[in-house]
Formats: sequence, structure tokens, C-alpha cells
Amino acid sequence: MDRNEVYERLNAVFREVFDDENLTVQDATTAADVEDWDSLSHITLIAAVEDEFDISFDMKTVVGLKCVGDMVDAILREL
Amino acid sequence: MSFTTFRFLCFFAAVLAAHFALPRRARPWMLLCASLVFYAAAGLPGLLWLAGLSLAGFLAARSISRQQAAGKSGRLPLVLGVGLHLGLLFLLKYFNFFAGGLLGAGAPVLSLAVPAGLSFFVFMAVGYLTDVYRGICPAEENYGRYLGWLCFFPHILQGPIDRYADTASALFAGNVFEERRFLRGLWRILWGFFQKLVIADRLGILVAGVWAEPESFAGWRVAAAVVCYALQIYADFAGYTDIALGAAEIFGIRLAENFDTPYFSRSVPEFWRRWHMTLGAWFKDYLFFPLQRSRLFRKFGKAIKARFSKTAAKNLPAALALAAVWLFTGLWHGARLTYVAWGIYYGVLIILSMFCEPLMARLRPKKENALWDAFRTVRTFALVCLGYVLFRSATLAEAGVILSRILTAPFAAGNGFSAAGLVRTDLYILVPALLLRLAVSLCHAKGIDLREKVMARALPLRWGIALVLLFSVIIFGVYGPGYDAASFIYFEF
Repeated sequence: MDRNEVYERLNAVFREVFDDENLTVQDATTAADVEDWDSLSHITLIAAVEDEFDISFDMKTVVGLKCVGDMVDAILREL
Repeated sequence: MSFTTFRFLCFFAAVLAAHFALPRRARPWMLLCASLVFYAAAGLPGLLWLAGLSLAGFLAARSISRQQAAGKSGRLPLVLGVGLHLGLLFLLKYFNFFAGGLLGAGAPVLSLAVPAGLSFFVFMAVGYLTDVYRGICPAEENYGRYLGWLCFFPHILQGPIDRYADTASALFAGNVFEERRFLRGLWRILWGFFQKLVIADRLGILVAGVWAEPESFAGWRVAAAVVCYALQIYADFAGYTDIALGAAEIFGIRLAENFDTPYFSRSVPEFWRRWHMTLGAWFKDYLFFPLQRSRLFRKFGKAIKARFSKTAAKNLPAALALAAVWLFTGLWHGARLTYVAWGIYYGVLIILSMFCEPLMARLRPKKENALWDAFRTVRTFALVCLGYVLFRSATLAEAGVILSRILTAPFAAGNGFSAAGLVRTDLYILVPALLLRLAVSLCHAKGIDLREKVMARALPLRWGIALVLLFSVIIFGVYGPGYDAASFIYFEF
């Protein structure tokens, strides 16, 4: 799976978790750019991403994600 | 040794001179010695606890690292290390509180002094051990360097609750002197002193006076004192943090920020992302996330999803984790029922706001609306002030008296603020000082780096600003007898 394919599925996850059909995320997107992306929704997002890609993040990844680019890197590492 | 003592100023000047006079390799060790002297001034028994705990933490981290290198999980040394730190924190700070609560008057009493800053450095050490276990930072191989980081004098007594991975490398770099760094740090230190001595300690006179005899004041004056306490605690803690961060900056070390204009927050959860940020981040990374990600919570979530709905499966485990976080946040501040009640108060508010979010989303205007935002900011500040009634009171009964006075006798006859010890001259100083504080907060909220702006100006202005701040602190600070400028509010935590 390449980065573009990951983004295609990841954007669908973000739209569902944050209930925003127009949401599109990129490498540089951070929690500050997405309304309601706080520690509560972060855990929901992580669980939804894990379900979507059938992977499991470790705690280092969960607490260390600074932007969506980091998340995509982590997904590609785990796949 | 409190920051607001002449002794600290002499200590800091001597450390600064010695630091930059020594060769670069010797500087971190000089900072370690200086930090130990600084900490020893708070009591020698505390220094012994610190030495013992730091050695245990250092060895536990090394053991985690060795076990992981051998293909094991390293969980046992992690549990032992964290257990020892938290166990000692419980024993020294909470044993008497819980024993008294459970067994009543016949409970055994432990008469051991609590080392200064215990809650802060225990949390830093637990964070370090967990980060080593998670692979976020390597285990330190030199005990002196680990101790040097843990007891670094700007952060050991009242934080910020630093992460080893963020500060250690700068601490051991032996940075060279830079005028820019020196000035930026100096301005920040002086601004911290200004907030503490000119604003916080002056507001503290009024707050202490009203809290001592709330029934002799009309309810609206008591309510005003609660608002003053909100401003006092912010100026006090943010002032301390500015002194700590400014002092570290002069040595070329960036400590974590603790405040981001918290009283501009539009919701209670947002307030807690902007107030005492390093404590909130600690609870998020080391309690909330691990709880939420634990097998037990995941099973619980799945069971809820099967029986009820996806939303319930998301919210109920989160509510449980939040309840734990806020109970511990309250307790972290001290072994007192009012702190526990204060923690529960925020837990309830934040859990309620989570459950009410879908309803609030419907009520919220679709487009940006300044009036709505202003309403939310005022509402959040009012809720925070209500929490401060519990936080400032020594007992639940005292908090009850404060609240009942506000609600039942808002316009009753009573004393003026002068009876609380605040004279007219104090007001003449307080009002412009608070307006200045507000202006600085507004600049910060707009992303304006005031220190960078001044740095771009000519040399005389750069140093002139420092002198104006210095003389403002000397002339307008509160130093008279009866006022204890030495004690910061967060020192007791």
C-alpha cells in the first residue's frame, strides 16, 4: 500500500470520527487544525485507524504523534 | 530557597558567573552542584530522599533498558521503579490523610516531613521511567547526569513537570553565553517577579482578608474576592513559571511552557489544555492514554458496543478514565478533602461536557460569532472561579460559607475592601498592573512575541526595558511585614 492509498482510507476515518464530510488531512495537519481533536477523540481516532488498517500502535506511537504525517509513517511501518 | 528571596538572587548571580567562567565540560556538573545546594536549602532530609529516589529511578531505568536489550519486556523494573516512587509519595504525603479518614482519631500518625517539590520530581521521574520503557528516550548511563536533570533548580520545586527527552541534551551541552538569550531570560525573570510581587501578593492581601471573615463582607465583595483569587493564583503560578523558564533560558535550556492564556478558554476542557499544561500532559500520557488503551477498557468498550451503541462504547470508558484522572489530579494537589472535591468537580464538568457535546454542537452558531465566543469565555471563567472556592478553602465547611454568603447575602451591609487590608494605593498599583498583564496576554493570544519585538530595538531600549521592570518590582512589589512574599501557592503541592 502506498502513501496515497493510506491517505484515501485515512481521510474516510477522519471524516467519520470528526463527523465532517469535508475534512481532508495532509502530512502537516495537526490536532490544532482539526476542530474537536483533543485527547478524548485522539483515542477514538487511534482505535478507528487501527480497525481500518488492522494494525496495533504501541504507546510510543500513540503519545508521540505530532501530525498526520507521523501517523501515516506509523501506519506504513505497521502494515 | 524561594525565588523571591534575596538569598536566591545572590545564589543565581553566583551560579551564573561560575557557569560561564568555567570550561564548557564542567558547566553541567557545576549546575548539578548548584541545584543540590539550592535543594539542600529546603532541608537536608529532603536531599536524602531525593538522592535515594533518584538512585532507585536511575537503576530501574538501566534495568528496563538491559532487560529490553535482552529481548524481555522490562515491565518488572518499570513496575518496581514506578511503585517505589508513587509508594513513597503516598507514604509521605497521603498516609496520614487516608489513615485518619479510615481509622478516625485512633489512626497511626506518620511524622515525616514531606520533601519540597516531592509531587513534581516524583512525576518527572515516573515519566522518565515510562518513557524509557516505551522507547521514547534511552536510559541515562550516568547517575550524575540523571540527578542533574531531575534536581535542576529552576524546575524541581514547582515544575514545570519536564520530560527527560526534551531537556536533558540542552542541560548537558554546556551552552555558551549569548546576550540575546541572557536578555530574553532576564526579561522573563523580571516579568515573573512583577506578576508575583506586584500583582499576586497584593491580590493575596484582599483574598486572605475576605476568606478569613467572609460573613463580614457583602456577597458581591466575597464574589469579587473569588475573582481576585483567580487572578492571584494565575499571577502567582505563571510568575513562578516565568522565573523558572527565564532562569533556564539564560543557561540555554528550554523548559516546557505551563500556560497559554488559560482564562481566554471557551470551555472547561480547553481551560485544562491551557492551564498547568505540563501536569495535564502528564496525566494524559501516563494515566489517561494507558487506561484507555488497556485490555480491560477495550473489553469494556466492546461489551458496551455490543449491547448499546458506538457512541456509548466511546464515551463510557472515556468517562471512567476521566473520573480516575480527575480524582488523582485533585489528590495530587494535596491531602485535603477540598482538593478531592475540586478534582471531582472538574471530573463531573468535563464528563458532562463530553456527553452534552452533540447537543451543544446543535446549539452552537454555524458561523464564527464573537458574542457567542465571549459568552463561552465568561461562562468558563465563572465555572473556574466556582472551582476556586473549593480550591482556596481549607475545609468543605469554609467553602460552604463562602458560597452561601455569595448566594444568600449579595448586597448585605458589611465591611469595605479596606477591612481586608487593601488600601487605595494598592488599587492604584493593581489596576494598571492587571491591565498590563491583560495586554501581555492579548499579545500572546495573537501570537505576538513581545520579547522578539523588543530584541529588534536598539541596545539602550533593550536594557532600558529590563531596568524599568526591575524598578517596577522594587518600587511596587509587596514586601511589608505581615506579607510572606517567600511562599508561592504551588510550593505546598
